[in-house]
Amino acid sequence: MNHYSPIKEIAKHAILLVGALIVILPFYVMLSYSLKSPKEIETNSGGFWGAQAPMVDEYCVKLGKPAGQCTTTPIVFNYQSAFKKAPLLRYLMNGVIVTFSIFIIQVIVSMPAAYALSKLRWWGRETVFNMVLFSLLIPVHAIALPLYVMLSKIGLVNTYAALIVPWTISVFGIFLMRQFFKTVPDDLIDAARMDGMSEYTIVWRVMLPTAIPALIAFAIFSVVAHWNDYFWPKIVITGNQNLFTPPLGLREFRGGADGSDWGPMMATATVIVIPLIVAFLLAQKKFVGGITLTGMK
Amino acid sequence: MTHIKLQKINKQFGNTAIIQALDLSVVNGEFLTLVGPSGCGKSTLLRIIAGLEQQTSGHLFVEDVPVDDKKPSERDLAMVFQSYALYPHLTVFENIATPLRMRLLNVWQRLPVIRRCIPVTRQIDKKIHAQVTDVAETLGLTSLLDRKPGQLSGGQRQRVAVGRAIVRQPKAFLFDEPLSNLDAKLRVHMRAEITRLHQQLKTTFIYVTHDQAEAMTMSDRIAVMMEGQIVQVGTPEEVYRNPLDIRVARFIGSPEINILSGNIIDSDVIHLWGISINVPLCYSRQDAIEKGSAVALGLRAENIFLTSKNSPHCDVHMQGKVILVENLGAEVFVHVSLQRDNNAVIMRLSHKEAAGIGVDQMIEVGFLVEALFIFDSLGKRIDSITTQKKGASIPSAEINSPSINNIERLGAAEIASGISNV
Amino acid sequence: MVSPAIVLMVIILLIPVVVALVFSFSSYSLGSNHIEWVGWDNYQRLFSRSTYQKMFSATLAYVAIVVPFSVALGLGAALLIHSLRFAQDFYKTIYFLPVMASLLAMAIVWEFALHPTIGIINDTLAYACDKPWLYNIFTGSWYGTDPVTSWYGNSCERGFPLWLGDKSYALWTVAFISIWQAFGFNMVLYLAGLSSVPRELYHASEMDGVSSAWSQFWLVTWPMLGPTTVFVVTITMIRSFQVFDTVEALTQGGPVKSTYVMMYAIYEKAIQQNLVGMGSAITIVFLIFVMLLTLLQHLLVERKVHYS
Repeated sequence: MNHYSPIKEIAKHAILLVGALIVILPFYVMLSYSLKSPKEIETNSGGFWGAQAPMVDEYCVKLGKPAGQCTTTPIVFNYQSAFKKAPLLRYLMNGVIVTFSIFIIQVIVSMPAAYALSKLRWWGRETVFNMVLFSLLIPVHAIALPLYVMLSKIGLVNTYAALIVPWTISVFGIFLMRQFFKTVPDDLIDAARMDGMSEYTIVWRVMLPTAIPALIAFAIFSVVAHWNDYFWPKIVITGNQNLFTPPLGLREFRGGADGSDWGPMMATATVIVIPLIVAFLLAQKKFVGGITLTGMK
Repeated sequence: MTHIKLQKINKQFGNTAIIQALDLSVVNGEFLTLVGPSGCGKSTLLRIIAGLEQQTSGHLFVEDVPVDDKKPSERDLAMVFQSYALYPHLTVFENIATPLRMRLLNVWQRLPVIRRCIPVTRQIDKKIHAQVTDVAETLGLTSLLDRKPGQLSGGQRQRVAVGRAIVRQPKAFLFDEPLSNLDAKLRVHMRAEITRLHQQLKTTFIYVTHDQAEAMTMSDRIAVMMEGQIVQVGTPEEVYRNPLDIRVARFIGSPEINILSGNIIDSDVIHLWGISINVPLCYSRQDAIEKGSAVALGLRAENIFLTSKNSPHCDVHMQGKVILVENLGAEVFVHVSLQRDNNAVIMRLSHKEAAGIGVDQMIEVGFLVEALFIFDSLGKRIDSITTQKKGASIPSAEINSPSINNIERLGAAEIASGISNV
Repeated sequence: MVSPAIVLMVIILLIPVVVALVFSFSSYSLGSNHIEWVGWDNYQRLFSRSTYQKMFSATLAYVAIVVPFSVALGLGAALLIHSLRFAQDFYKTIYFLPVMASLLAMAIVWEFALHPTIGIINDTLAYACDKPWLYNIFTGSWYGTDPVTSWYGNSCERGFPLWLGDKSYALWTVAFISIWQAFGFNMVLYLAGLSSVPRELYHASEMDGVSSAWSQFWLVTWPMLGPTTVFVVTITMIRSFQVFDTVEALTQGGPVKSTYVMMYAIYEKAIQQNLVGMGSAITIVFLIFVMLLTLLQHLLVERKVHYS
């Protein structure tokens, strides 16, 4: 309807703004408190940025260093502790390694499969597709337990392999790619075959370039899910702290937290959450577009 | 009697003017077609009439009552959309019943369970049921009432859309290119159906299309729209035989009218390839007819004749080479390249007349001066030749000369010298 | 071409299901050298012991809260944003941020914000306790009730709730955190669905006499959003069954097992207490739940909702 009513617009914005405030609240808390001193945290003062008044690091004093050396500003204290108390950089690196490896292997496994399911005719195609559909019903987290038992029997617990391997088969990825491949005209593939390309070459040289939007969507889903994954690493990394992914690191921090640790803990949370948020803010259209694409399947 | 009147309608989108100072009067009960090329603004105009879009300025009257501020449902008009816009989740019956339900039942009476508690609802439901089945019968949809649009063919869906419009018993029907989505054969069939429907209902139809054949065959009057303005309004006969603008001449009629270029020599004389043609020119602006200025001559395909075979006496003859022969069965379109012009002209010949004509053949063709339409450099008609047929009137102010049929025939000598100069 | 995928599917997805099934009939513990078969014991315990009854009720209650709210909020936000004239992208971005952030990290932040004493929420709620005119509004004493009996008044006296420590609030709080995180995703899906509704249907409904936004919603928008809704509900349901992060980090299934959801129970029994058999039984029941739900919605609803 073309009848535009300013009152209704204002009301809509009012409701949405209230919602936005609630949504933003924890981010605000996280950022702000990562900049505050313990005292400010306790009393909930200091505005957003915190007064940044010099404070004394009690822990450092306990270690026997003179008070003069132990004075820093809260922001420095929080972030330094975050990185020092636990090897946060190492955790971040683990996150990158794991997420990246998972995605690469997922692509390598699912693209040929999707191609075969969508464009090739072969005996057993229907059966395999039904298998794929059936497997969509099995959330990997649900079978975490037997997977863990199997892995521990082969002695692969506490390894990168344990973090990566169970995710290499992405049924969602196969499904998504298959739907997308179906829209590629058969003529294009026939032309490639006449040009002498083998089926594998076709997958990587013909299908891959046309499927970039779907791949981006897939990448977004995969990276976000695995960077943020807590459940599986928690089960599978039982002793080796060096293999902690970022969420595990944060949890460890939280486990031993006392009053003065809230600041550094917020700082750790910020460091874990910021990369994806920044990536999202820079490439919003791609993210939102990716989800829309999968929704349209 | 004017049923619907548009007064100085303007429509702008941002900085672009889609419709400019448009006036139109629709007579009660007539079938008026708004025809024009894609992008000329006709669909926008229809939506403005319906109330789905607001005009930037100007007024709209239905039965002399201004309706500018009224919502679409209050204007008592019904619309059939190009894509039919049927509710996919409702059956044919429910689709047709929707306008009645919206009007006769309030919110509570429409809710699924609560409606049974309200006693009046039953009666209204019965009334609605009777009306819908009536309309369905008229359109031959009775056996389809339980199906959903997804299970119907294109033609059936269209009939449901029409049914949904009819059931409201509106003051006028608006059709937005309803036949564009159908295949050619079905289109011809549905044209007849819609025309018959109009005769049956006797209500005003405003019909938008880009297909001039639809406009010609179905309408009582045609309004030709170009670039946001109505260029000519008249019966199909008028618009065909007396186009007031070169764009109208080009748009109406198939195959497209032949356009030849000439110059004005004098106030009554035009030069075409060295041949002088005497034609009474009629002008409202002195500078429109300047010596030497270029003019366009329009000549319909059926008005060019083969002069080598028992043809009627023609005023102008010329030689040409056949470059293409299109055989349509009952008639033949022959494309001829005339020596003095780079464009080919198309001739419409009967099957018999075209016998023996082949490509690359040299033939002699001719036409009568009175069949020409002469347009100035701005596209406006400047001659006062009309073929006086029954009922054809000359509505425009451009043509105000009373001298019609005041043509001097060229003598044989001039013709001979003309040909030798070619 | 397909063989790597098939092999991986079998090993990683299909075989574990069988493994879990097998173990569910045992009392196996990781590290022991033999398996002891206990028949249906584990399942019997599952359906009789009160701990597990609480597990079922916590899980089902949680899903029953999270799914309707996430879907409704997602739809509401999408409808509002879709009809705005400007700033659509701004709101879309903000509402989608929680989806990108690690749930564990944000759960911990929420825990901090909800902290009884130093948390910002209780702090803000307590702000009006000593400001008489606000106090009167929130306690309802402006229309005559005794302030101390109202929730707000009571909390001002005795302290605001322990959101995560009080068994009547804990599950709702955990649910709230999940809704907070999930509804942005549903919003994006609904926005996509809304823009695919053919505009001419809205035009037709206007011509047919639809007068209010409400009627238009019921006649055109909601039916056309059918497929989207099915998708959203299914995804939300499956995800909400898998809740773990918040529970493990914030409540550990308590207080008094009020947040003892199935995934956490599997973790506690199988990993922490090394009762693999029991954990496997819960796993199997969990799988059956999820599969049944998905199949049901596919068979019953999905067909009705695709009109062509």
